Amino acid sequence: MKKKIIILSIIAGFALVFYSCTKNFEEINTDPNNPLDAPSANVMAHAIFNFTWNYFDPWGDMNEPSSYSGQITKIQYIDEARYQYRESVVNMLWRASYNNINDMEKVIVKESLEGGNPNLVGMAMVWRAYMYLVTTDRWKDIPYSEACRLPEITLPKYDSQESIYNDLLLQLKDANEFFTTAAAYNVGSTDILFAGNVTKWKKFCNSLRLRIAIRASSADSNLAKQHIEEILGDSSKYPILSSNAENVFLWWPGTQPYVEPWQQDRNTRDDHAMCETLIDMLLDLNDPRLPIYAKPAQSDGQYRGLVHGATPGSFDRKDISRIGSIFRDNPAGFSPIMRYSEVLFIIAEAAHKGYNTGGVTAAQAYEAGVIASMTEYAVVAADYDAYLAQADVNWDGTGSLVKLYQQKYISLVKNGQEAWAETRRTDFPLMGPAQASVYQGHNRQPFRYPYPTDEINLNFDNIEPAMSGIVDQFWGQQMWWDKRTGVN
Amino acid sequence: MLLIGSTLWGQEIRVTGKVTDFNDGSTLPGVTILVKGTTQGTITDANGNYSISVNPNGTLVYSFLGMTTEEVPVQGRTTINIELMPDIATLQELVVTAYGISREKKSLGYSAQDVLGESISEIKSQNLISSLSGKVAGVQITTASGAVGSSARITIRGNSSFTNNNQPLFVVDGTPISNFSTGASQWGGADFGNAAMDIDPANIESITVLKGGAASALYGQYAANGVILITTKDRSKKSEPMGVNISSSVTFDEVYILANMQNKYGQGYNGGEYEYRLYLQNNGLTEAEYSYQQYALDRGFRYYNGLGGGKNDGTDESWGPRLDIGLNLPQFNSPYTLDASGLPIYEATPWVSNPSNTKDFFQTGITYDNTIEIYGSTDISTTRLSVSNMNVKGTIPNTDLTRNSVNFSGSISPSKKFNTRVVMNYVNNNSDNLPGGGYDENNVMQSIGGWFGRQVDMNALKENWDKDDPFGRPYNWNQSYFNNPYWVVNKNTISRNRDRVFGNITMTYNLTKWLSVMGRVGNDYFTEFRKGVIANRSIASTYGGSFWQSNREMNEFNADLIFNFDYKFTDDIRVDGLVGGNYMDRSFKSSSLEAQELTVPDLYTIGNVRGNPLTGMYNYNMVSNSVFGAINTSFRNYVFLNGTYRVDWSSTLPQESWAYPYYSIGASFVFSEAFKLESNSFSFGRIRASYAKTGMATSPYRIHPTYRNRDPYAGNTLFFISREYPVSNLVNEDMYTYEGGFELSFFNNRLGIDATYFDNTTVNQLIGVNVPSSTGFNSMLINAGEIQNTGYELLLRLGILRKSGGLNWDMVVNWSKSKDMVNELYGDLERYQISRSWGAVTIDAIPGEAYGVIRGIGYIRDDQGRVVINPNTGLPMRTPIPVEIGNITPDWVGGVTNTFSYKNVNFSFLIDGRKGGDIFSVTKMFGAYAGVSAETAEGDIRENGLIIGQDVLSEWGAVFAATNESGVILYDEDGFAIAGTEENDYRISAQKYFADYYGIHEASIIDGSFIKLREVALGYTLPKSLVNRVGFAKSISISLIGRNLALLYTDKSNNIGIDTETAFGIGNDGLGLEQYQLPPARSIGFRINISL
Repeated sequence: MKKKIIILSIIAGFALVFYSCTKNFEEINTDPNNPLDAPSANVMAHAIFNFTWNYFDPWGDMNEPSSYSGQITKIQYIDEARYQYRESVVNMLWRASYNNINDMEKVIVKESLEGGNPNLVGMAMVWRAYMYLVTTDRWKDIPYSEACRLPEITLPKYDSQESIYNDLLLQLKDANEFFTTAAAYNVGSTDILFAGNVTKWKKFCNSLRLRIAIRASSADSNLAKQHIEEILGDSSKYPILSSNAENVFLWWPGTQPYVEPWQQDRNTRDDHAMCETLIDMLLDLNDPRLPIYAKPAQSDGQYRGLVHGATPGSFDRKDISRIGSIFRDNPAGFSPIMRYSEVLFIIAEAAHKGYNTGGVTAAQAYEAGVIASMTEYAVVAADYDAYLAQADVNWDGTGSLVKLYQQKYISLVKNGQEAWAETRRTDFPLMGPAQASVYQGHNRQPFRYPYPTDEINLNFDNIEPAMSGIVDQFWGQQMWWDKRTGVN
Repeated sequence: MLLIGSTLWGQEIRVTGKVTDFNDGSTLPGVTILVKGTTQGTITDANGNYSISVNPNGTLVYSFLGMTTEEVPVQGRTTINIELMPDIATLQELVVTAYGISREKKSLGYSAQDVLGESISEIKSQNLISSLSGKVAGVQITTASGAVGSSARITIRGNSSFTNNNQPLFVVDGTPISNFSTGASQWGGADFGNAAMDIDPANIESITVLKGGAASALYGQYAANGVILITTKDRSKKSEPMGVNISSSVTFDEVYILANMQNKYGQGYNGGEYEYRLYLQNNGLTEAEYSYQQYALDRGFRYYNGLGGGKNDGTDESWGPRLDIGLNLPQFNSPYTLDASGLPIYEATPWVSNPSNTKDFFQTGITYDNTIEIYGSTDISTTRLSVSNMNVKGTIPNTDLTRNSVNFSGSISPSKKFNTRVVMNYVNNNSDNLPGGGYDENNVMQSIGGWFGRQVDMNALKENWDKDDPFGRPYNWNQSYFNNPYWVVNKNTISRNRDRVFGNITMTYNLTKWLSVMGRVGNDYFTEFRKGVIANRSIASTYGGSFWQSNREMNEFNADLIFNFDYKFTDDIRVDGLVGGNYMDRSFKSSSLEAQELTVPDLYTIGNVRGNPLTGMYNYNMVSNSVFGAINTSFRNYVFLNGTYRVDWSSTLPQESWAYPYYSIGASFVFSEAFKLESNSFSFGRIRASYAKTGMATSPYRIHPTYRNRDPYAGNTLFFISREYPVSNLVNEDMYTYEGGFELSFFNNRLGIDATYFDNTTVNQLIGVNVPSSTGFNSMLINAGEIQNTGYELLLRLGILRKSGGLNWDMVVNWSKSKDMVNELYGDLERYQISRSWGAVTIDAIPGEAYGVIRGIGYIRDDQGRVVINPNTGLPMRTPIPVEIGNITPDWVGGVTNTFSYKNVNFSFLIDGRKGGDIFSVTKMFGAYAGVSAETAEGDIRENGLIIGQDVLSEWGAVFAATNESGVILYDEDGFAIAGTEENDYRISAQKYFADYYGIHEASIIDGSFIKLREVALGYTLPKSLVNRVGFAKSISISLIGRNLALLYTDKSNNIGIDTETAFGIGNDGLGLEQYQLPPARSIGFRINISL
């Protein structure tokens, strides 16, 4: 009996010892590797880096948008350029959008609180709007009003592109109000885009709003007019990009692992070259940018592009011009998010449409746009003056917009998403489908990008209505702002 | 009285003799000898001698645990020496159960199966786990590849978890050890093996596989997938005062099962006769005007710089000109002259096939394995020391593995009440170079086994890999994508060195006759260094080369205090069991350095980095406390009831859920004994049943949302929110196991059957379910899901021939079938993605379906199963969204071991296999795309083109899709093309067909069934007389051994001919996926064992 009591008490003591040992459990289970909170400026830096990294790399840009717009094309493993796409790339890009948008939501909420930094609120709102714009221009209808609301909403509904465009314009109008030059709120060098220059952020904010507005102009001219006139009517309240020095470029550090993505790719691959569409246009116009945009072909020193989505094996790679060094060979190169010249072309188009552009004529803005693009590459005045004097370039700001569209198109190189959006909106240059398209019966390059299978697998009920009418993944639905007719 | 007595007893005679072991001739102490039909008996003494009085016409019955019972009529003899044979049916009468307690197998309510040390040390595999293949019912082994040091995955009773790696707990001499593993991923890296491979099979006495929840309930949260209990050799049971054993072997490895390649066409594009004729036709030429030789040179293939400077010489595909028909083309290994500007002009040389080029790359691997064991014992102590060295030269050139291990065990019993035992192991596991795996240029199979020029002469690459080509670049067949494979293995190395110490100290004190207390402290510590190097001038290298290195350190400490009791209330009722507690503390630290570019080429130090070094670190710590108890009640030695109870407190869970209890109950009924059914034909019978609930916690730090970071960008740390959304109300996982079975044996245990049915349900799994990324997160950690594993296990033992001194033949059959059903996920979630591969290919868990559904783009078929063809292209129509194209779970796995012995010779072989279990093969997919696989040049498809449904996919046939009057293809509302009625007659080129194949994942699904001749051993024990004449040894045996000797069967869908036994490490990640697996090796060798 006595023994039993001893044994029982040993066991009981045992249990107690173990139980009391749990007192350190919370400390033990506190992650020593990852913080519970992080500075918003560093989260902002990640979102700028990560989104650009994904959407301006060979997968996110060269293979598809830059190819669909006829600027770049693949010369080896010609899959994407003829619509043999990779699901994993689609999923990856979709994630790059929403993961980073989610991070921006957190920054906006956190920095809107007492003691927050209004500049970070503004930056996060601008960057969020930019990411949404790129995303909706790829897929059209996407989750917006219910996106990034976990855990409340696990299956976000899809919103119409029209409603997203309307809201993005308002978001940017609001964002403009947050920026302040107060020293206490300067983000400093952690702002990897503008090194803490709030004015540049503000200019990016309003210029981006111009981009959205002009794109909406064929679908909802009143909306476009209202926003463009508001911005151009008050340049002190709504400053816009005013020189190439203000170009919204993400400049890469140039050392691993942050090397400019096109150059990084070139280190190991030689899969991309210039597309015939752009090269022929530059040749026809005697464009001084040609030797900058492209390298002469290895075989004969001529500039020669390849037809888009070419039949594999139907050409010799040495006969095709590669991409110019400025875009392709500089590890510390740039990803062009928005250029000054684009703003000028937007103003030209707005003036042509009869919007109040504050006295600037279409012809003036157009010429300034061409010059801005030329000087971006240090083309000298004599050369661009001669260029502008050519009949195919010279424009008086009336009649057809084709010359404007052409110059804007040429200026957008390396910004595949914009170039592709412009070709869809303007139908210039008029491009049929890839030579070796895996889908038959279409008369244009893709209208849209395939929805990610992850979303189809996981959010089918919401995506299903958005998918109706899609043909061959890439066609069947035109963007809300794409008012072309007779295209399929 | 005396006279009467002597008359009565005088009828008896005294019989003396010796009982020895048939196998090794050693004497057997403690053998029970009974006079048949009486209770009169004796036992043999320490030297195996006995003496007994018996009627001259009587019969003596000799019985000993683990040996066959022999009945010998006395027939008036006074000396009867007898050899007892091992009894395979009852050999494993005693099994080791949780906490190292040996129990009578018949008392268990669950299935536990033993594997004896000899059966894994005879034919040693580099990886202990691989040695279990086909030997245990209900266990599936998958050896990742034939590379040195590669991992082996083991699952017991199927995959029960979505996210855990489904690996069992490894326990060595009572203390858990880590089976930490890093495999190659699908996308590259090396397979660093799994840590259980540190155990030298030579030290293993036995392995017990605890399969069900009831078996493992006592080991707690880490044992939810079963337990592999390893007992190392302890010579205390042998009566010899000392001994020395030496074992030496050498084995030779040759790769086998290489993919089937075509040898008709070489590198390039558009080189087939079909394309040639089309070209003539399109250009209005005749063969006389434009010869095939000229066409081949102009449009098929012509080497200049391997970058497209010639014709298609930058390609890594084999759609080029026909081989072996007398063409001459400039090639990478053709002689060249230099022109005025120093540029090469390559001669045209014969364009001929090199059918064995892939195989030529591999070399004969050699494994030397030497072990010396010394042991001794006194009345109060035993000691054993074993030292071994294994040295492997891989089948892939310049790959290696060296394992040195020291194993020491000793015990002291200064009094009958007190015993202490120490077991210590030190292992050094070192490889200077492990081969790269996965889809990566550092995996040589990506080029030579996939993207390749079929005409390439491997010897040219081998002889010149360290030379430059005329452009001053490393000599290679192609300069676009790949390094010379010899450059890869010699320059771009991945090394690994692990030092490990594990062991424990156990003290036992007998408090009373029926109660003892045991304290045990065990520890497993290892430190591992890894380094990977990419040499300057490699294809993927930018400036000066690159390298990474990492250090990791793991420590797991376990302390147990256990009271054992064993109390006999009456002769009929006995209660035994234990009560105890465990404290576990596991910590892990790792750090890494990486330089992606180097200033001074090929100087792999971090100070030499060009730009910024990349760094990383990760530490974790987790603790658990547990109390547990077990009770076993037996009645008359034929009714047994077992129960266990355990509570774990795990630091990885939120406070409210720290503690979680689980339990098991089991019963066993030996009806043969209860109803006295034993006869000559029926020897033993019992039924058993058990029920258990077991639990599992999670990994550390999963309950709070955190930010993650990337390497600093221009001096700025980049933070982002973890893409997995955590939940704070996390609770543990639970598994419910029902198990029932029976065990029967007949004809003096010559036939034994052990059958088990099990039903495990795992609920509340802690899974990171994928959520739509539009929520901002990619996954969400939740407690959800239910997987149910049901199945059968069958173990059959046959003593087919039994003759003392004659031919003996035993057979053991293991077979199991497990159905892993996903019952539910979370809410209305339709699928959970276990892993993903190329394109839309995913391996999913889908409610209502078996675990591991492979989904991807499929063919569209009509109602007769014919493939629907696009009338505009002649190519198959595809499903617009991923559909089910296979399932990874096999129908069954099994193995048959046959053992023969005749006098001093024994021979055994093991055949094992599996039925079903689909695989998505990237080797097949890209082998077709690249025109290297045999199917791309079958028949005359490159000469004449092909029509789908006739020349390919003929087993299904093909029809055109339906179109409207203007030729537009008609689709149904889900976007699937509608089949027409007209049979396909659109002729296309083979190149076009196989380029498209890649988009239809269904084409690359293989049925994973196989049957392999896994092991063969032929042994010879030198006769005693001969050994005695040699003088120095007690016994000598030699054997001829073979492993992975032949693939006896593979499904016809495996026309690419890969080894379907494939994995990426031990995780769930690579289940059902094959991606340029390094080929397995066939091993043949010799072993000699000497006992001194």
